[in-house]
Amino acid sequence: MSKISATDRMARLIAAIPWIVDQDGALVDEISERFDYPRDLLLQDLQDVVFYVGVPPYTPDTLIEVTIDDDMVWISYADWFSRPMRLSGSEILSLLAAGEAALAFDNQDEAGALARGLTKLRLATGSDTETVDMQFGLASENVLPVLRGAAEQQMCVDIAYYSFAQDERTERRIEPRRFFVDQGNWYVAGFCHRASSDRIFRVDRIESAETTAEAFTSATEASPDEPMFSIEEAPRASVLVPNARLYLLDGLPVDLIEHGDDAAAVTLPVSSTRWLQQLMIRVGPGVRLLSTSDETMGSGLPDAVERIMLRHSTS
Amino acid sequence: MSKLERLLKLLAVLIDTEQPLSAEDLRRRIGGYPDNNASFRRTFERDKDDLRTMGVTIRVASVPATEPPLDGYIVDRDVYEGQDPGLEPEELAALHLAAALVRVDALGEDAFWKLGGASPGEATNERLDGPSVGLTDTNEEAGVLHTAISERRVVSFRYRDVDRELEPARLSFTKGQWYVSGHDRTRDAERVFRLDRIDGDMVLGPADAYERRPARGPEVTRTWELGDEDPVSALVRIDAEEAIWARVHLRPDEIEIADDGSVIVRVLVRNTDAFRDWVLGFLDNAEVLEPPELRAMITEWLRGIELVEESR
Repeated sequence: MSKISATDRMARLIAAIPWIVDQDGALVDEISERFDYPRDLLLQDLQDVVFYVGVPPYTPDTLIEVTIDDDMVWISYADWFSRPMRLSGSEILSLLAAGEAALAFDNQDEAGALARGLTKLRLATGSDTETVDMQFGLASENVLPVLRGAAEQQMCVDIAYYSFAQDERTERRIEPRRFFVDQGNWYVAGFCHRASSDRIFRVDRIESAETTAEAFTSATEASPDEPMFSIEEAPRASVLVPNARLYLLDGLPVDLIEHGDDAAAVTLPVSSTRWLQQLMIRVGPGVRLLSTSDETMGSGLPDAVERIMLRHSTS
Repeated sequence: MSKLERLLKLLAVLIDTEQPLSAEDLRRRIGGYPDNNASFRRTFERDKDDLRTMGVTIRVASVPATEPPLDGYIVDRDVYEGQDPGLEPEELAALHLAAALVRVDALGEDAFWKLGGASPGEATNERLDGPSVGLTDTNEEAGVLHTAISERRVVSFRYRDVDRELEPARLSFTKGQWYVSGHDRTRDAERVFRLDRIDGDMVLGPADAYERRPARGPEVTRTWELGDEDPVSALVRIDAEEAIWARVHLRPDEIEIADDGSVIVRVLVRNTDAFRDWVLGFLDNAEVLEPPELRAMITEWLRGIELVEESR
């Protein structure tokens, strides 16, 4: 029998007892499955423990009554455990997050059961949308459902994608396999036929997505937890950033910040030359590139500045 | 007596009692504790810790008619008992399926037990091939603030080297971060705080301490609207390459799609710095069309950048 600690069994029992009372009797198997309670251990705990629980003077009317008959369990006189324990604040938020993200991700909640359940949960826990709001990233209408549907059927999708790093718009055939949310943006990862390797796409940069008649061709199935890109392996740059502009680095994975009186030397991973350029241009006056792990990465800033300048020169 | 039995009895007695009970009272009522006083104390302390870890709130108050006052313990029923959402079986099943589909780091099965457990026959422990949603490591703090909001408790904390007293009203999860907003008593104004910037612990005051007033969440897209400057209407062209951004993130009435696929965006600027940060994020794929002052501001900014690396 698997070892479940006393407190883990207790957490299950104080949830299961009110449920059994409420059901007016329940099948042992169902209780076991609902509360992840091994059947033998459940029977033993009900008979040898719960049966003796009560309050002084421990007369029959102050003890929980457990009746087990064949495969059924009835519980009565469990006044102290007539209701389950309150959900904690972080449990409520996690439940809402799972539900809201699933709604955003998967528009297949046809019966509306999930949406209804979420509304009830919000109401009961004082978490209306004015009190708790959650945003899991926006995407062009229809793009996410198409990707999601294609992933389920293992069919390739044709997308029109804007790549910021390359500054180009391309049409690609991809095999959407994995989805995730990072910093409030949806991403889809999978094999890209154009690149002939695994790629990650930001969903809000996908202009259109169309399911094709072609099934997935790549044999490799990326394991869901295996990252496809690595911050560790990305090239590094060290940039001098005036203190007043450090907020621009919020949310970025930064290796090191060496604070000075007026500016800080910041070392951080860089996803592309173009990305580094836009960061430095936004930092603006006072910015300086101190060093890079990859020499070509630092080039091109004057050109980038020049191009924006040209567009804004008075005509 | 087994530990499980002792813990269940302890909880039942603490819920049942109408006034705080001393440790000795509880020892007598529950039985089954060690005879030796020192080991009773140890066991009793551990039991209380176990209940608290499980999420039970044990209130400590002095036992009536004791001199000097003795510490007593009680579990308030209205605090212990849950808010029953009254979920229909299919609603609970849908929620459970959502949790299996979306990987939310902090979510365990025990939350579902409190709602009646997972319906049998449903794919439960199996992770479906869905997205993962990191709720960040400030989820615990967000949970504390959720409690503070629902019980209307003032929260004190340190933020950017200033001590704050906040009447929290709204929690927002956006751009991968938790924010709390509400009435900041220190500033006597509505404020938004990012949870990962709160220094150290938050201290909660007594319940029902304020009238809740609606609060806005953080604005992470239209940052140019967040400021005290006189509003200036600006026109920005975003080239076709990046037009999708505007189509996804802005309201339809803010954008106009041109024949060449670019979009013309009309925005109201109250924060020039944020406006510039936004426009320059597109590099040369965006252009400020109007007004001339904001156009000039961009070139002025670019001229200030010292291009140490000499062009060829």
